[in-house]
Amino acid sequence: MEVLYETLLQLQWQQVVMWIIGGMLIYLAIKKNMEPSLLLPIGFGAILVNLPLSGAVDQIYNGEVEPGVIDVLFNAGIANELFPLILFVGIGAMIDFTPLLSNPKLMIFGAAAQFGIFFTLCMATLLGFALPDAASIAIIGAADGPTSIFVANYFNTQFIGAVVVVAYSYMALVPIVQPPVIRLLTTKKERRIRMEYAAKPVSKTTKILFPILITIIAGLVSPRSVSLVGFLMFGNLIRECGVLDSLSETAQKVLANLVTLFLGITVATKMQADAFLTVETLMILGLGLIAFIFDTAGGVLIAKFFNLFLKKKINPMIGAAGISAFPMSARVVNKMGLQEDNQNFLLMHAVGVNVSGQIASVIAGGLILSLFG
Amino acid sequence: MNFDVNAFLAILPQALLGWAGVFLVTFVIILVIWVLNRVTGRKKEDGSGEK
Repeated sequence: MEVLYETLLQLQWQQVVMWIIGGMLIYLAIKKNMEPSLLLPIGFGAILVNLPLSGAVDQIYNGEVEPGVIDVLFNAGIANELFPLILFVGIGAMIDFTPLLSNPKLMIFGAAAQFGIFFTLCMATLLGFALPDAASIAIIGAADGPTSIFVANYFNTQFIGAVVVVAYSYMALVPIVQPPVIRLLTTKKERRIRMEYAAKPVSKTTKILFPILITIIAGLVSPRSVSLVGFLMFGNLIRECGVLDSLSETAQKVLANLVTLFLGITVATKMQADAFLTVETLMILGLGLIAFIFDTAGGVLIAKFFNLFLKKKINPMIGAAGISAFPMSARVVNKMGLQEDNQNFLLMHAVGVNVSGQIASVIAGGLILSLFG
Repeated sequence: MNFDVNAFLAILPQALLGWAGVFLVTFVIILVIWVLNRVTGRKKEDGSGEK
């Protein structure tokens, strides 16, 4: 009884707030189906690490550090960037790059939709964040969890917990964030532009050589971040080679699920009340939204720009799918197209742009490391 | 909250360089895909590539 009383005396109101935040994340994951594989472990982890004297994280007893399992996992899997990279093998094995390979021009929209990253970098710097923190916040605009974790961890930012939670939250909110921005920047006539899809055949040789060549290019441009692109492309090579089907299936399902499971709960170690409940976290929440808005705007506006010169117009909404957030963003664009014209099927174009965004976001992450690391 | 305009102005050109870098790498990748499609497509046309 005395022990219980002593523990309760250690409880701070900030920890209770974190329980509520953790509870909200679990609620959003279960009831709203928002990125449940990440938000549920993160939410539970937020509660676990914010219990008074929680043995799940490192505690100091009699002047000696008693390791907590979540901190052990953090040091083993995130501090050395292992978990996000392994997850990338699974993601690479999941992605079919055929729509992109049959129409490579779509990659331009993926590049344009990284605008939010660099705009947010400037905004975060303007708001007084130190450059490593600003770069870590900006990478929320990659709309890609492993890249966000990799970059934020590389810069060793104190805000890694907030960055990861905000990144995954906005990825889950893509169906809410993107449509108003797209509507604001396009006319009804533009949204009704039909795009025919004629699938061009892509040879197996191209599909096999593509991940190898992309890795070489990324390695030459940004050697520091080659592991990011390399692991993504390694997963894709396993998928496309045709002789490693069981490995591909394992990477897509078991491996990705296993790492995701530990990734979420481990990130929560950076959600301890004293580090998380700060004004900066609220600012990161706002900057993350800015990143997603300007990513979307970048993709849409470049499509509108091309339309000034093209005879066969592009539906500018597909530019928004360059935000990465695969495959949710492509679905959002397709749904908006069907709302405007129930015979306008933009899905394959949007998927092509979406996978381009996946590659472009990793490249952007690599360039952020090269330029500011 | 304190606005750091000097830091903003210092980072602006680098941020633009970063975004331009993404486009540059993208153009290289587009070129690589185009060449790949041409080479492997031609093989098919010749009937010497995979079916």
